[in-house]
Amino acid sequence: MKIFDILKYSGRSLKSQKWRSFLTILGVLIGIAAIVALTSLGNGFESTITGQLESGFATNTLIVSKKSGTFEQPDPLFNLYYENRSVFEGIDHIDLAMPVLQVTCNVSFGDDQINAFPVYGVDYNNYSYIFPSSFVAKEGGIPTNSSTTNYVVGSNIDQKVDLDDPIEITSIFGGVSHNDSVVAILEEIGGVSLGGGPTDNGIYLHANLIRYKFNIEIVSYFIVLLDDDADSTINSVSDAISTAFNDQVSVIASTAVLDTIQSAFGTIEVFLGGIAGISLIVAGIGIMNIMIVSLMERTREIGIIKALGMKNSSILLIFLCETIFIGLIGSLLGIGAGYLFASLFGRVLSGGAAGGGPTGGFGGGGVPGFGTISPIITLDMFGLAIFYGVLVSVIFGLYPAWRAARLEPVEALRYE
Amino acid sequence: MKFVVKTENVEKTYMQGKIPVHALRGIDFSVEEGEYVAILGPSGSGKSTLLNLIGALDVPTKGKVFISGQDISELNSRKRAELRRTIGFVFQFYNLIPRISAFKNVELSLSVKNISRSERKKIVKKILTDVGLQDRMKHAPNELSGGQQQRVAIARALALDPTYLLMDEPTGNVDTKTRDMIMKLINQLNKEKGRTIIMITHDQFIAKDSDRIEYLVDGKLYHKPPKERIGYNTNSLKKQKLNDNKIIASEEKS
Ligand SMILES: Nc1ncnc2c1ncn2[C@@H]1O[C@H](COP(=O)(O)OP(=O)(O)OP(=O)(O)O)[C@@H](O)[C@H]1O
Ligand SMILES: [Mg+2]
Repeated sequence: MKIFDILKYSGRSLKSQKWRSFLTILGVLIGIAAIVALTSLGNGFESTITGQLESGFATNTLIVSKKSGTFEQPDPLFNLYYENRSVFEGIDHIDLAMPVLQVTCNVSFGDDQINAFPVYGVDYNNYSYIFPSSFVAKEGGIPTNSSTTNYVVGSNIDQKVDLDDPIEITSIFGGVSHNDSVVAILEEIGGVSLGGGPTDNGIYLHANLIRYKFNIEIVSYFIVLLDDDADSTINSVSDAISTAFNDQVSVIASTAVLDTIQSAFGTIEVFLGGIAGISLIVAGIGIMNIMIVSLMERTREIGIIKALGMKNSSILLIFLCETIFIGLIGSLLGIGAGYLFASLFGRVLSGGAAGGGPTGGFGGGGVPGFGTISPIITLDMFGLAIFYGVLVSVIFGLYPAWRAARLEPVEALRYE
Repeated sequence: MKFVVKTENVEKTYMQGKIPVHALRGIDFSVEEGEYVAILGPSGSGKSTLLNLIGALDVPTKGKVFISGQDISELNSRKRAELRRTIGFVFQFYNLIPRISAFKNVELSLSVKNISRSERKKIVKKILTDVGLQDRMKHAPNELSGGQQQRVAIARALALDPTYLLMDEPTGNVDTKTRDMIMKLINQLNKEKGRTIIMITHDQFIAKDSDRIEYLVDGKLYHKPPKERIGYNTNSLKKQKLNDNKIIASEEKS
């Protein structure tokens, strides 16, 4: 029997049991829709988050901080100091090593106050050199002289103060105060600080001021700018830095952080996909069930077509084509339904976050607003969804098809 | 002499659990091209079993069945399926596929044979017209009368242009009027179109037009009616033969 005739025969028998076929297709539809919805939402979520992280992100930076080892006990007396800058000078591929100081303060903006908030000390020139796209003023201007005593603040702080308003900070340890005006407000970055980059919640003073006025020489971390972002460079420089500091520091490439986040998302997606996959298997069992029922109902018919001289292989194909139709239609509709559901759900999620007002507050770098999460469906996913839909239907359809093909014509014709 | 089908000392034993049922016990039977043979026998005598063997649907337990010169026991199931495409089956219960039209039922046997669509359409139209169903082609089996359904089944068997037609109680399920019409159709196929026909029945009357009647009793074949054993009434047969032509003539008009 020609394949076209086989397809027509299969199609007709599906059509003759419309409700049953519809319900079986619905099973596949739900399974595929669940997979597509979860993975496309996951993809969308990941791309929103990493997109936010990547804004204000430099791929060729390393963060060097004091080791807080859990496996090896670090030297408790070890600290990174401002003058350790010179250690980096002897290492190849390092363009710049910038110390970042930090002092925890109670911050008051006229009436408003936040307690125990980090204030960072950075060299304004170097910081804008490393993060040229994010350490940029939207109002005012970032001072270039190193004796400046003015504040540069992130765009969220804008809600508390305006340009030229004063901010008074008092360090929690030591009680030193500083009071001066805001000289620049940064453009909105939209993400969280990654790789030591500026953040929307940041309050910055020049490193020199933190050193001399607050008497702080201990450095939170160094931001090291490399002259290229190849993995080999990142690795060799990281090793050289560790060695130079007697293994008392941890060196983290900003790309490594991003990789970790992405692989975490990958794991979550696989997990969600797996859960959704279970519903697809349930759909497969539904297919098998319905095909076995259909096999019993059509035993006599199989006997007839065998008596007409139809080969076992053709009968196998007729049954398989029926399940493939179910799988194909189910997955096509499932992709549509899944995407639709993910879009609606994504809108609800992001709508909810936006309604919550400025997120995160100022306590220790909160969760950034989601912006909008639009589900992402790639051509790969489209292909894979169809592939899995059809695969499952073939796997579960194989047994009934094989049984149909193997029926003895005489027995089948005697079947009541 | 050319045999289209021939059996040599064929036995068929079924196992019902552990008890063997000897359905056929040494059958020697052959049919020549153009013959119209009736096999007569009571219920359970092994008629359908024999038909399944000479229809290449099953293989014998012992002995040989030759169809178009091939020993079917030596063919694999694929080759036997191909061989069945040269045999036209007509069953007692029509055995049409219920969800498709008369036309498609007949067409199916041609699709099995890989005949092209346009060719199929022509053949099906012609054959359904031949059996008088030209205006019933689009109807599903459940929209047809018993006689019409059986004519569709005959058309389906004929569509294959088979070497011979096998009919298992072709009139077993219809009223006498329809029965007579089908008998006439079968007779025409043999006498006018030269079709080789092997028909199975338990009713002597149905067999009246055949060239030869074989009697199957208890799995054995006899050339003469084993009167003393089953008591066929041959007198009633003669009477009915006389009335036959009138019945068919009136049926044709209705
Ligand atoms: N598949 C089978 N398994 C076991 N026994 C069977 C099988 N097919 C037929 N038989 C037995 O073989 C014998 C002959 O059966 P068969 O169907 O050939 O009879 P028949 O002459 O066609 O009868 P009927 O006129 O009632 O159709 C019966 O006793 C029947 O019970
Ligand atoms: Mg029978």
